[in-house]
Amino acid sequence: MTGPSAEEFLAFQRQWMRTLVSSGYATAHWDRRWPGGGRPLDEQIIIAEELARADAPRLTLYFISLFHAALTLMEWGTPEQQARHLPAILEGEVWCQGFSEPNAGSDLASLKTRAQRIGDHYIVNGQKIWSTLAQHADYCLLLVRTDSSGPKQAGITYLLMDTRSAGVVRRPIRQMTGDEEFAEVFLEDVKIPVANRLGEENQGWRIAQTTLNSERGLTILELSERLYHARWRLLDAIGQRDGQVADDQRRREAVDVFIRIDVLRALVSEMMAAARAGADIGAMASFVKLHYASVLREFARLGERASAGAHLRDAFTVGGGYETGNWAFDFMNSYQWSIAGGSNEIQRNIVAERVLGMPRDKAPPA
Amino acid sequence: MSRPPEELLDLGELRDSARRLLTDSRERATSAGELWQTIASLGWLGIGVTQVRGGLDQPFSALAVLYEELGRVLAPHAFIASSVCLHSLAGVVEERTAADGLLHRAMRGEVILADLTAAGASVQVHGGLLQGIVFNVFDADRATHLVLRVDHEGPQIIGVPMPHAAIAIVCRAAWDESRVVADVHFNGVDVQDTLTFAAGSAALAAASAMAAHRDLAMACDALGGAEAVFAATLQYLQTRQQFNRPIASFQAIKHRCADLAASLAGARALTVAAGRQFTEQEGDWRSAASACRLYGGSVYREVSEEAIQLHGGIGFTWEHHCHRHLKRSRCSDVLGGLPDQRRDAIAPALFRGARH
Repeated sequence: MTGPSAEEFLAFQRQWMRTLVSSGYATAHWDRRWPGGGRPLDEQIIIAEELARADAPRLTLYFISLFHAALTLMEWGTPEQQARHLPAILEGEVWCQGFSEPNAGSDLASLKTRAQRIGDHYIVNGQKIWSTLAQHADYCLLLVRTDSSGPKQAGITYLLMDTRSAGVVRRPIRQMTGDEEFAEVFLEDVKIPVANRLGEENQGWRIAQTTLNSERGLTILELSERLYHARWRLLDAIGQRDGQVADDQRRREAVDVFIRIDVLRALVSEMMAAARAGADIGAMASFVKLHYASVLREFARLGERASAGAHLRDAFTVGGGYETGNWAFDFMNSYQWSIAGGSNEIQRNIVAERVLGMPRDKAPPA
Repeated sequence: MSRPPEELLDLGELRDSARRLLTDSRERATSAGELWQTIASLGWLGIGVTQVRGGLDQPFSALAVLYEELGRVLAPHAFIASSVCLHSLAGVVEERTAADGLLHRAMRGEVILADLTAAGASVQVHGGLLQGIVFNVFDADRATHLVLRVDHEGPQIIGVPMPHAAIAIVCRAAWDESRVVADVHFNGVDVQDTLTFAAGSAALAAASAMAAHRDLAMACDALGGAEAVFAATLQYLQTRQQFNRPIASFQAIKHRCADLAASLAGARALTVAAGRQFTEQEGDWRSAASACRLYGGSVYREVSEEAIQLHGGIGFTWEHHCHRHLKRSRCSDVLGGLPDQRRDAIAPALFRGARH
């Protein structure tokens, strides 16, 4: 790890989770039956904006629990499943997401991890990858294949898996930055009770859409605000004094990056206005993600060029946003946003086909 | 600036009717003079001017629609020039003066204003005579009056009727044929021949409103042009067949179009935000307008460049309209200084706002 040890990270996250749960800020997007829940989107936006303004640590360990797991359980869980997990999440139950596989990334629906029903259990075999912080998780949102006969989307089932079950092996993935924010999950004859199935058998693809849409733009809103508030780091890197930057090229490049941050924020606020009106934000979300990935990269690139050699591998604190001021680290880390959560290339396909109406290319015969 | 919503024009309807009018007049090859009269009779020239002054009292968002639609059809600069002058000066001229009368006639389209204020106060007054050259003025040749900034007993914004024996308009050969780019030479114009719109602090306030308004208008013009050439490109890609399929189905093409669409969405969002800021005079609306023009201008460049490559051979021809957008996007950059000068000008304000 570039920053604190894994133990320090976990200890801090637990403490920060307790603080945000007890103040109600962690659960603003939950429904009103829960403490802190039932806040309108406007107030959720304010909370995200203020967390960014304060440069508060991000609740990365509990992100999947609070958004993906909680909102999916609230919409699709049985009363028993909800009673078992939602209070536990507030107490710190950590969830991870077992969606991607080595051969099912952008083409998620082609996933091959198999689940066979035997009596009251599914027996699961396969492999998941890019599961955020899965090495620390208690439970996993797991997509498995239960039918291979029809269209690939129609044979997927959604299971809730205890990560301590026999046959589950988790192996952290060391990133190019040295951090381990993701893990591989190997599944060998893992027994999962049928009671832990979400929805009906083969209904998993539809339920997964709830999971994937659970953030409703709030994450990217918070991250774009963090980038906005971190602009001073870039100015320091390019040598500003009292608002003046002597080097013409650096000054002009910084102006362009600043303008692009304003463009990003203007797009995000349009997207949130659409979300508030209950409109579909799919197309806007693709534009926003493309802009964020690219301006984040440019931000880090300019800082890195301006401070070449100044940040070889000195210690610094991670855990805030994606702009730590260690420019080489930030540059490398910015790839998370052009690859994860639908790569830039997938976003471009979405824009071209769904927004611009360009025809799909014929897939080669299977 | 708040007003009851029922008085607001429906922007969608305004856009539709503007597009119909401009497309129709292009198809029928309506003369510039006739189109100008139609535009004036529709009230476009004073659309944001207060009702007391004879305008329609609309926020900047209505003007933005018109600037975009005119940009789509590569319209001459006369509308932007007159509108920038009118909207910025209508609030500061004293009523029932000659200057006030001129603005009313401008709103009716009876006079056409050229905006020379983009160059700052580059004309000097010596012994009561105006001397100097204003470079890169758009469409000054058709104007009945030139509007410029001088320092004569303090800052002033003045108008000079045309033609004038002591003024020479020297047209430049420009790649962009959609507008006339000229240098205006002042060879000893008597200040007695001019009329004053604003003086002192009112002139400074009007000049900064004009600069911001011009930047926003140019951003909208660029956005309209970029959207038009992008739409035409998409249509071409859907029609053009190679290897038995429309070339729009190739991913190499799609991804580039998606990037252009993302840039356009960004330019639109920024333009809406900066226009609202201008209407409300909120925060640093001057820098926001300049930033908006920088971004909009760069997107117009990007889209018009890509349009030619995506069209292939036909995009390289004189016959096809792609090159007109490419040329206009470049030419627009020179009005009132170059992009790097704009970057340098707003850097201190942007950087101050970023302090920890």
